[in-house]
Formats: sequence, structure tokens, C-alpha cells
Amino acid sequence: MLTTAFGLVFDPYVLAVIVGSAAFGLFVGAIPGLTATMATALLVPVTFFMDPVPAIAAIVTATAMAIFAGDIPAALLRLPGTPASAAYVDESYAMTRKGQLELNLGVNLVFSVVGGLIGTVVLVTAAPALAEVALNFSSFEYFWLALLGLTCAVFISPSSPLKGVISLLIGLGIASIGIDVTAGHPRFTFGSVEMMGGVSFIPAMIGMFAVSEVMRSVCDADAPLKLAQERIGNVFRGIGAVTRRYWKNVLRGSVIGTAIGALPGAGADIAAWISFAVSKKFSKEPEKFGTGHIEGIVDATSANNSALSGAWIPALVFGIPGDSITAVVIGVLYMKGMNPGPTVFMQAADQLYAVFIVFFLANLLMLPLGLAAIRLSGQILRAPRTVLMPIILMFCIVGAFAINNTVFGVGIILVMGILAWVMEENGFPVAPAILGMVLGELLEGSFMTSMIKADGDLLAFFHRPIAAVLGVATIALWLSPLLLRLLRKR
Amino acid sequence: MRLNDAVIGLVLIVVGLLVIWHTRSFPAMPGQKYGPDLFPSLIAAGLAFGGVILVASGLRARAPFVQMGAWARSPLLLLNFLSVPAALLFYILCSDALGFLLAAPLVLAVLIALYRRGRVVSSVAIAIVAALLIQQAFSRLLLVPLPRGVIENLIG
Amino acid sequence: MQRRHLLGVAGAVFGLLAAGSAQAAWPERPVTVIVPWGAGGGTDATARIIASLLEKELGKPFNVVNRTGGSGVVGHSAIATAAPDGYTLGMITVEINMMHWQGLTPLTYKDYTLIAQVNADPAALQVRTDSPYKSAKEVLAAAKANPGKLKASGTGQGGIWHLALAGMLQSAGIPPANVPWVPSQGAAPAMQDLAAGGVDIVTCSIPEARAMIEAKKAVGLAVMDSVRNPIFPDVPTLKEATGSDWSTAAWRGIAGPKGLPAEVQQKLGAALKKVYDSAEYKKFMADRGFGVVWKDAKDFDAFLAKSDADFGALMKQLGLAK
Repeated sequence: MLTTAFGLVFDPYVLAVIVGSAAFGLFVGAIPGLTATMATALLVPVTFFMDPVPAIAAIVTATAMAIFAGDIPAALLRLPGTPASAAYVDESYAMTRKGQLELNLGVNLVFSVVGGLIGTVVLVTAAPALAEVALNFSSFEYFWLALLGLTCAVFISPSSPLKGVISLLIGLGIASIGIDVTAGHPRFTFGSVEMMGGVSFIPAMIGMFAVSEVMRSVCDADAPLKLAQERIGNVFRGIGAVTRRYWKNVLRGSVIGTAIGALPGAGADIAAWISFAVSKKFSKEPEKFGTGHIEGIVDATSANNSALSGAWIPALVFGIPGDSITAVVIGVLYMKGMNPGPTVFMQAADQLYAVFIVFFLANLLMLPLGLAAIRLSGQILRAPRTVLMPIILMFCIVGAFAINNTVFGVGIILVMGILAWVMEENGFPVAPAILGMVLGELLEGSFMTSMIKADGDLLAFFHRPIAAVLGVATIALWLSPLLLRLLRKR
Repeated sequence: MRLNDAVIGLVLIVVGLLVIWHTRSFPAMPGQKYGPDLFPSLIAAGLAFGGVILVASGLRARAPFVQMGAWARSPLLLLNFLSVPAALLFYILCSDALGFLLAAPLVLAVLIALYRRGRVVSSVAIAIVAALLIQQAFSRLLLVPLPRGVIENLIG
Repeated sequence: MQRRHLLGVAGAVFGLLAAGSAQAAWPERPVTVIVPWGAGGGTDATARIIASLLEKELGKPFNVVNRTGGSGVVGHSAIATAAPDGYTLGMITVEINMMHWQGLTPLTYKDYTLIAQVNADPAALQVRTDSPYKSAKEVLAAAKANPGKLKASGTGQGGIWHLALAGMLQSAGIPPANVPWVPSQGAAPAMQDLAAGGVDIVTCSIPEARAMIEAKKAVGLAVMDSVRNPIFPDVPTLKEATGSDWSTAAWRGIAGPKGLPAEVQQKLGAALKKVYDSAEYKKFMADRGFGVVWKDAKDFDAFLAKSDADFGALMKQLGLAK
């Protein structure tokens, strides 16, 4: 069986498809506004005319590359290429400013590969069992998960906790614009049809990171239009030391990433946030976070690539998408006759194993191709900033437009860009606002639907076993600083 | 542009109260305890509360209410600063009528020439090349329906 | 003066070119097909197969574009408000007959140039595999006996599957409020919530429930249609199971903004009929488990008029209409 599977993958046509879609994925991921999900959607019509294995291989490869490639503009320009890189974009850029661009990119590349591989191993060995667990998550569990996620905001705000919380609330408030998830009532839309769709998260992110950064850099009086670093040297120097020091972080990030990826309600972006916060919480030197410290990046960059593989777990076993990418993938699986469900492991075993091999291959291929992408993108650092900034702005415009094909997206980046600029000038961190936007709908939706199910009984959040564990853990986490202080006083 | 915390706090309080007032018009869900107004009003209450703390700390700090950055005193840097929102606004208003291949080079050329303080001819050339490359990548490769205008209709 | 003349001449030339291009045979450049729902869903898949077959038929690219958000309002508005030149079309869905009753948009099916209906997926009733209710009859009996105990899901508040449930209950003489609706982001999350034990009943279409049924996490109890579904021939129709005549389905169709040129309507309608009759389309839909139904522009219009009135009456009774 395995030989058949190898035969299916190591076919010149399939290999050509993999390399081609790898290049495509790197391109899409590196451009802000174009996401891994969009890469998948764009591949769907192309895969119409392919056999099942090359069709799935194209998607697997392109998305893995895209999630890694999102780290490159994050490091170079403080501009997350995909939402999955947003969690550590500030840390990443701070490293660049310290002159550690190479180490940062090297870590992103190597541990994206490792995270992807670990996620794949889990997918291959434990998919059916893990899917069973993931399937038990109902709105009660998701509510606690969302609250846990919000707690990250406190851990990721470097300076004032109050300003971090306000930023988080601003993000949550923005997330509540549009038709509300439970009653279907249009909120804060002021009669605009576009506003009914809400503030799309990706243009908001482009505005808050990229546009505000462009604004800052064109009016910086001290160093007008200067980038932090001009050339990219050997990205693999220092990786060995990082690995020896932080191998546990890699494992932890990958495990968290795979687990969160496997949950149908959360994907690579939430995985990156949570693993970054966990990294800081358990770090021996949390004070270094925010100053360009590699530790959290190690966790998060492993996590978002492993989440990608994790998302396939419920998708393959139950046809329930683990993220927006696998939502598209499920359609393609049906189209190719590999109907998801426990039976896919028997009925389409050859093809399925071929897909698993592709997962490994794609992640390994990321090493040379990702290196090439880093080298290529290093060229943009040589472009004069006066030319680069307008072009970045144009990419932002087109990327924001492409999300929903409307200039409303451009309006979002304008408003969010100005908002983020004002916030950062006054010491409000932007990252918690982004987190609020990511989690807002999940938090409210899971709370409201839980209350309908439980007829308004708040204690229902502790009735189910997993929910109770998550709930107690969340509350303990919140109370722990308070308790510690009390204990110390005595 | 550094604002005194008290100013920001005041804005948050006003926004929070406005939102709470507005959410009272939201319909209740029939037969349910909680409706679509719950989360927005909780969030708004949180913002207003944060605002109160900021006002208190801001008044204690006695910083000036508004402190402009260095860029605001240099007319050229001020122009640089305003150029970004202006470019976005222009694109929002005009791209549909002009089409991408007219609007994008225009925006790019003006910005590049502005930041380089002149060298108009080469700036226009760079702008045209960059816009064409972006247009090809997005509309041919990624099938994004960029707005069409006169030039797109000419080249088909 | 010279320069102004030149501009005038240039303007005239552009004008002529523009006029000339309008008169050439449609389509002479890529056509955009707007889908009001996300990539990967059923509507998206249907639109994409149709677009790729239309492309083969008419020789110009048909690009599918997802305009999501606002429970379909945003995308439906985008189709209706596009320039009626034949270069922006869209796939409209059952929600167009519901959203205006909820007061979300003034748009109705009358704001479109209808081309044809290409699909319909009847609603079906699903429960968890270990559910105490083994038949549609038992579900209805439980709903009647214990108001508020059973919770159902499948889509957002006032969505098509909510109406399917309410209509089913009403046809059996049970007040629809007896089974509270838990809004969800779609059928897939609802089916997952069913398996997780969050809700007791899910009403959605067979293809949407299929993976969970095949994974033995859920069972289908009835199809709200006049005939059984070919994928699960063992699942009875609602009439067979309970005697109720209630049936409803989610449908999809191709439409353009109002005022599409007659030439475009005719050419597109003919091409779409060919696409619908093609083996590729039939096979694709059968593989996914999607139902195929053809209604040309005239039949489509008549069907929509009736269904719009029916939905309005039902939603008013449910208190969902404004």
C-alpha cells in the first residue's frame, strides 16, 4: 500500500504540481492581504482538472508555504503576510530592529518546517482518536477557550495592562459591528449594506499594522524612510544554539498548534496567539518579551504551521472543517471522490497515504524554497524606501480590496490605519485589538448559543466535563496573580 | 501626536456612553434572557470604566493636552503624513471611475515624487511599471476583479 | 486651445471605443460571478462548476468571486447593484426570499434579471446516533409533550433550516416555539454541535449532514421532500414518517442585476441550459449529493413569487418578520 502511495506522489507531474504550488503559496503568503485560505480558493478551479493526489498536493503545499511566508514581511516590514503571523509581528520586527533579522527568519523557516512535520506526524498517527475529542467541543467549551484566548491580551501587552485591556475592548467592539451572530440584528451599521458584513478582519489587520507603519515611516523626522536593516546574511547561523535552548518550546508550540488546529472553531491564527502567550507565561525571562526576544517566536511559528496539519484531523475524519482552509478542502475531497469520514481511511487508503506523504514532502521542501524566498525578498530591502513605501501602500490597497472585491476594504484600512497610528503614538499596543477582533465573534456566539441551550442558566458552563476543566483553569489563571500577592503578604 | 491620558479617557467615556445608549434600541430575543445588546453594552461599559481611570491618571500627570510630533512643525513632513490617508481616500473615491490602471499609477507617481522631493519623470516611470506588475499579478494570476476603466477597455 | 482640442478628440475616440465595445457580441471579456457565501461551501462549489462549464461554452473566463458577510445580504446586494452589462452575474440563493421579510434589506427577487434555477436541496431532519428518538414521529411527540426541552440548530436565526423546522412543527400542530432555535454559523458547525451533544436536532440538507451520518455520529430521520434522497434511500420522506405534507428546500440559481440586455439573457440562458444538461454538471452534483432542478427564467419567476409569499406568511407567524 505504501509503495502505491509513494508511486502516486513521486510522479513527475505530481512533483511539478507541488513545486509550482509551493512557489504560488510563497508568493501569496508573503503579500499582505492574500491569505492561505485565498490561495486554496484560487487553486480550486485549477484542481478541477487534476487527479485527486496532485489536486490535494497543490493545496497542502501552497498553504504550508503561505503560512511560513507570512513571517517574511512581518520580520522585514512589520507587516504580517497572513493573519497567522500577526501574533508575533511586533516581537519579530523588534528583533529586526536589533539587527537580528537573520536569526529571526532562520527560526521562522526552520521551526515552521519542524512544526509542520510534528503536526503531520500527529495527523498520520492519531487523527481518528483526536477527532473524537475535538468533536466533543460544544459552545460551552468554545466559550472558555475564547476567554482563555482573551487572557493572552494581558500577557502580550508589554507596557501598561490597562491600555492593553482597552485595546482589547476596542477590538471586541469592532468585532461586534455587523449582523449579530445570534439574533441576526444589524448592529452599528447605520444603514450601510457593506457594514452589515462587519469589519473584515484581514483589511483591519493590514490597516492596523501596515498602513500605520507606512504613516509612521513617512513622517519620521529623525530617520526619514529608513528600514532597519539592509541585507540578509546567513539565516542558519545561531539556529543550533536556539534549538538546544528552546527545543521544549518547539515541541510545546507544535502540540498546542496541532490541538488548536484540530478544533473546528479555531485555526492557525488563534494557535499562534495562544502559544505565544503560553511561551511568555512560562518563560524564565518574560521581561525580555517585547524587546525582540526569540523565545515566543519559536513557540508561535511552530504552532501556526502545525495547526495547518491539525485542521485536517476533523476534516478527514468527520468532514468538519478545522479552519477556513479545510472548509475549502472538504469540497475538493468530495469532488475527487475521497469523501471524508472514517471510511476514507479504508476506501481511499492509497490516496490518503499519498496525501500524508505530500504533507511531509511539502514541509521538507519548505527548507530550500523558503530560503530562496527569503533571499529574493531580501532584494526589496535594497530598494529605496521612498519608492518602497508607496508600493507597499498599493499592495495594501489591492490586498484589502481582494478580500471581498470592494473598495470598502480600502476604507477599512484607512480608518484602522489612522486608529492604530493614534493608539501607538499614545502607548496603546495594537496586538490586543487584533486579538479582540479574532476572538470577538467566537466569544459572543458561544456565550449566546450556550445560554439558549441552557435556558439562561450560567452554571451550565460548568456542567459538561471538558467545559468544567477549561472553566476552572481559566478562572484559576485570572486569580493566580491575586492569590500570589495575598500569599506573599503573609 | 501624544494626547494626555485624560483626553483619551474622556473620548472613551463619551464613546462608551453613546454605544450603551444606542444598544438600548436593539430588539430583545423572544424568550431569551440575553439579547444582541449584551456584549456591545458590556464592552462599552468596560471602555467607559477604563476611560475613568485614564482621566484620573491623566489629570494627575499634568501633561499638556496635546503634544504634536516633530513632523507637524515641518510643512514637508506634514505633507508626507497627510499623503497616506489622502492617497487611500483618492483611491476609494476614484478607482471605480478611473480603473486600476489609471488610479494606481497616479497614486504611486504622486507619492513617489513627493517622497523623493522631485525627479518627476523617473517617478512616473516607476509608478507605471509597478502598477502594471501589480495589475498583472492580481488580475491575471490571482483573478482579482480590479476596477476597469478607460485603459483596461483599450488593451482588452 | 490646441491642447483642449486634442483632449476633445481623445474623448470622442474613447467614447467611440466604449460604444463600439458595448455593441460587440457578449461576452468579449471576463465575466465575474458573485457568490454571496464563503469559499468551500455548497453554493460556492455549485457556482464554480457552472462557471468553469460556462467558460468552456462561451470561450471567456467566468471568475467566481466570494462576497460574504451579513448573512448573504452583502453578496446579494452586490449582484443587484452591479452594472447590468452582462459582465457581473451572480448565484442567488433561497435567502433572497427571506432577508427582506426580516427587514435586513429592501432587496427582493424582483431586483434581479433571473436566468435559471439550477439546484434544490430539500431539508432533512437529523438526530445524534445515541438519541432517544428513533423516528421523526418520536421527535414530534417529544416536542409536543415537553415545550422548550428539545433544542434545534442548522443555520442562523430565521434562516432556511430554521423555517424548515418551524414549518414541520406547525404542520404537525405543534407551536414552533416549543423547540427553541440555536443559531449557528452554518450547517457544518451545527452538525458538529449535534455530535458534541450541544443540541438535539439539526435540520439541514442531506449533503450537509452526509459526512456525520456516514461517520455514524448522526442519523437521518426524514427528508422534507416528496421523494427520498438517492444518497440515503433508507431515510423516509416526512410524509411517510409522520403524514405531514410539509416540504421545503434550499435552492440556487443564476441571475444578473435588473435590466440585463435581452441578448445577454438569451445567450446566457441557452448556454446555461447546455451546462445544466452536460454530463459533467450532473456527475459533479451527484458526487456531492446536491439535487439538480431546472427552471428557466419564466418558471423560476413564478416559483419565486409563490415561495416569497409562503415564506412571508410563515415568518410572520414565527415573529421573525418585521
